[in-house]
Amino acid sequence: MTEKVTDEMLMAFVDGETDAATAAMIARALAADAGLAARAEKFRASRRLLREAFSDARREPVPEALVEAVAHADRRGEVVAFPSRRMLRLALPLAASLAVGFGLAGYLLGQAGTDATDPLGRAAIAEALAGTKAGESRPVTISGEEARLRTLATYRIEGGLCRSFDLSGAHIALSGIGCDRGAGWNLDLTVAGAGGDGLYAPASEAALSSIDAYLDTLEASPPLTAEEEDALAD
Amino acid sequence: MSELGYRIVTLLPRLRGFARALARSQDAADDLVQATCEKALRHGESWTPGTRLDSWLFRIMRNHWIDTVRRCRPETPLDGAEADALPSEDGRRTVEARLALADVRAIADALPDEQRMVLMLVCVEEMSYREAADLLDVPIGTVMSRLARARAALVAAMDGEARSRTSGDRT
Repeated sequence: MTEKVTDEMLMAFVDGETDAATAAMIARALAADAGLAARAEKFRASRRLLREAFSDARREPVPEALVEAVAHADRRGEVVAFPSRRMLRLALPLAASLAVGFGLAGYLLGQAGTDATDPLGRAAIAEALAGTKAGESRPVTISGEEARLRTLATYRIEGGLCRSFDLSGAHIALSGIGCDRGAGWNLDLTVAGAGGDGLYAPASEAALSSIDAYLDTLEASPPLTAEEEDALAD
Repeated sequence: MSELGYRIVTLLPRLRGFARALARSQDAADDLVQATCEKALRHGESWTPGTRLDSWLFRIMRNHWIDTVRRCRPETPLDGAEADALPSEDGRRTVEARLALADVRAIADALPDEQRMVLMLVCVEEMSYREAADLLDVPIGTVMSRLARARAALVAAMDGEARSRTSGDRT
């Protein structure tokens, strides 16, 4: 006895998703009905056609910007709750690269003076910030450890400039803001990150908002475009 | 880069393929891929090593798509009303038995999101019905009915037939 063979049964048959008894029943039905066999063949073909039709995107090289955005999110442990991040996206031309990823709530407000040993590398960071435009990065040595500083955005403030940055190394992760008010670059604010590569930091709204709030306090401009920043150097 | 980050990067071509099918344009797809990866890295601890990373990422992408992107679009018909969304009769009649790949894409793009997701997971990603059902949180029977309806649209195009396929057809 054969029961009626539905599209679902035909499809499962050509996909190899039927049990042995059902498969045998369908095979008998196909042998007895050329129309049904032709329909089964079309279901089989539909799978191949779809695979071919949707393979283009899989074969194309992945855009560099996408890889970079993922790598950056990985480094930062990425972080920010969605509304905040959308606002940042609007505000920052660096968009994808500004994933302000602060981990721990315990952060260090850098306005206080440093001790002579400069354990946080404040001087080294400030010096690096001076020569690093938005989107650029350079190595920095902090307490003997190699890290990489990357400037996320440059802002105009009254009487000078500020740069937001992040800094990451094997055991260090910082973000912050440094400014130059005409007397050289100074590290104004740092926020401790999760502590190095490979850690995924939970979001800390407090850490993020401290940076936002600081920029607000300074009445910072929107981030400068690359052209505006280049013009400053002239 | 972390091991998870590295593995995600190696999956980017497949994530772009799935995203292209969801978003129907490559630009929107890449935004979707980026949001998915960021979300995944933010919640890296919720992935269990040893389980399929690709399924986990597809699930994040699908949820993100439903939560955010799709909300901005006009309502898509759900199961039951899906037949209305198949290509028009005229459109189907003009398609030859040997379908051009562009036609295949156009037909798939015209399908409801739920059907297109199943098509991608099974026909392109070569997941089993069970794997697709688990990923989509639906019964396996739902996967089969969506998949059969979606592929029936292609079969109809191959036939060049103008047969009406309403849900009442399926007996």
